[in-house]
Amino acid sequence: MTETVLDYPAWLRIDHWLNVLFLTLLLRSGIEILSTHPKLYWHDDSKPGTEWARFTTKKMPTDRLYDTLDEEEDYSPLISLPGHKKLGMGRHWHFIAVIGWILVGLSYYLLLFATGQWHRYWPQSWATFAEAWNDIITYMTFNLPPLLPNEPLDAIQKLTYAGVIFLLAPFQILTGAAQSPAIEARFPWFVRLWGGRQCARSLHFLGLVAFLIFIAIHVSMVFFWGWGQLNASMIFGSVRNVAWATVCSFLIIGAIVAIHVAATVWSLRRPAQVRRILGAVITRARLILLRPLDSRQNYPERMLSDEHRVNGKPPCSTRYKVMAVHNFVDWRLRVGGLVEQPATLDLAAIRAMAEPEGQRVLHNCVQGWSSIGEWKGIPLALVADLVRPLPQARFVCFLTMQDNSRDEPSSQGEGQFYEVMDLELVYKPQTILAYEMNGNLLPIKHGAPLRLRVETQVGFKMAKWIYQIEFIDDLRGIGYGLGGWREDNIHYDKDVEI
Amino acid sequence: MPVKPRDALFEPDSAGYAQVVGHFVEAWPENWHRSRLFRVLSLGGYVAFDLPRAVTGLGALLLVGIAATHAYMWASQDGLPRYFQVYAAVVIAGCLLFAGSMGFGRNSHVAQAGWYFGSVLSVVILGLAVGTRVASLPGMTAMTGRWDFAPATFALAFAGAFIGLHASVLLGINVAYPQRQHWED
Repeated sequence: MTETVLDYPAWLRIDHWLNVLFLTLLLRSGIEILSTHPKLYWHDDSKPGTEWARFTTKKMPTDRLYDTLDEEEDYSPLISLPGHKKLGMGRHWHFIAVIGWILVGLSYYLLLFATGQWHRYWPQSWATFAEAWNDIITYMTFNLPPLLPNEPLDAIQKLTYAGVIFLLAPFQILTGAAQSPAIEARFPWFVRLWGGRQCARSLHFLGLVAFLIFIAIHVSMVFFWGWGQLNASMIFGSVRNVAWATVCSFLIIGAIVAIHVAATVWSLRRPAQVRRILGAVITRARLILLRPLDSRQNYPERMLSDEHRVNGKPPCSTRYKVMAVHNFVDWRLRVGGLVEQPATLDLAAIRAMAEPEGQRVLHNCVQGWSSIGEWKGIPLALVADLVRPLPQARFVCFLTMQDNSRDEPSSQGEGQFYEVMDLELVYKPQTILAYEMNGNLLPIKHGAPLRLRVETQVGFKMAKWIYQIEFIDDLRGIGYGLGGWREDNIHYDKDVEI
Repeated sequence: MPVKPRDALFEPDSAGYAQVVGHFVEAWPENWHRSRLFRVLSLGGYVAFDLPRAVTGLGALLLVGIAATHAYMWASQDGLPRYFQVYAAVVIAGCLLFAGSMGFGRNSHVAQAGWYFGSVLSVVILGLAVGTRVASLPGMTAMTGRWDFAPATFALAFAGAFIGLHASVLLGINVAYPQRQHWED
């Protein structure tokens, strides 16, 4: 058998530099996502004060209602993509970069094993571990250890790269996937495997830190071993002209920085355009991979969270307050649009439609916090069956009593809150209109008298304080036409299975 | 009202002395917390962890690491001079004592003392480790006067890391057992 020459084939070099691009995009956009709830927990209730890490200077009031929008931080574009509280943009960049990163990773794995280059990373014997310790000792004497025979790396480098490529990278993808509400809803065991939603989020963050440490050591090592020589190998495949290789390495790094700058400026100036272009790829991937997943959650009662964070402040109109004082007897739900039989229902009529359907489920906020709650209500499909949507109906629009101009000073937009979702989600298991929470009437701060629960989506899609449901064939006429208030104003994605 | 002679302000038993020193002692932490240097070192208050046991465990581990490197140097070298043996014994005993008081001291004063004495010892070790890389000591030519002596680099790294960790506690980035961050919001 011919021994594989562990050199620098073209595919390895291309994948390396693409990896630098995607990984740095992931790191910066990940920090943007973190900035909207800059606190990390070990427990799924995300109880205020129990966080193990916080990256914010904000102190929340204890004497009045605040919501999680008040907790958002405004990070500099120097560390986050794009910065300035643009979660929608951060999510788009994170998801497009992860698609690119996974594709690069798959091609890398495939070619590593197809060409035998995997030998450069995989330890052939236990002796490699002993040699790795010797290498550490050598580095501590401020000397460089010998390379392994016929290999481009020393033993500790070999083990470190193996750890990053075969452990850390898959770990990041899996802990990222464990934060998808659709995956959590369909495979609750998978999120519990990581210790819960917040453990997965914390571990994902620690993976980010591990990558930062790796990058710092990797770049230092390249510097100490010879920047020009190693970059010559990683750019041209062999060492011929070190000076030219050094220049090229800085040109490539400059190009990557330029892409970051362009992505940042583009996202801050033309977010709707970024959303449309990146979203075209992301949404397709999401609908293919995650839309088919159905919620199958039934958390035990002991896991219910004592407190559920508030996102979005309740309506403070006089009309709403009067209704609330009278236990919402005057409240009506109008269901219409492209339906055969429009209906107007009060709470009693809704309750009388069927036995309440209960579900103990994990709630995922788009910001990253979570909690486990028990919700009771009627399946939304029953309401749809009552009004009978016309064949041309493709979406459902939920109109709420919340007005952001009046109720939510922390929001980055104005006007009535509304959300639009695809009609097929109406018929998904555990999609309900909830009027009870944790065995009591739905609290005002969580959407009384009626809110939506769609367990494969993140929280902002689950409109609260609903008073009207419209079946529609085109969402372009609603708001700015992007599929909801958050989509229109903060450029979130409309389909949010992750 | 009679004017006090200027010098009386600085008599240790005078009310003026207490006033001036008291003001200085009270004001300096406030000034320090408001200073630009503090803001930079504490990362603007944007990074904080509530992992008291992990931080204390790490601190204790770093001190044990310093003790282990000194024990290794003592055991692996023959004919070491008496003064190094005494120095190593003091370092090992000190590190273990301070690590123990940090980890097992339920009284916050005992734990705090462990951190402060650990830092003082680390500064001494840091100074000696750097100094003995530059200058050779009598009877220790194999270990001093050179940079390529790994145990000294390890001791240097552990001592530096301990000081850094303690600094992060003092800056409010970290918190050490038995304290907690007490985030009440």
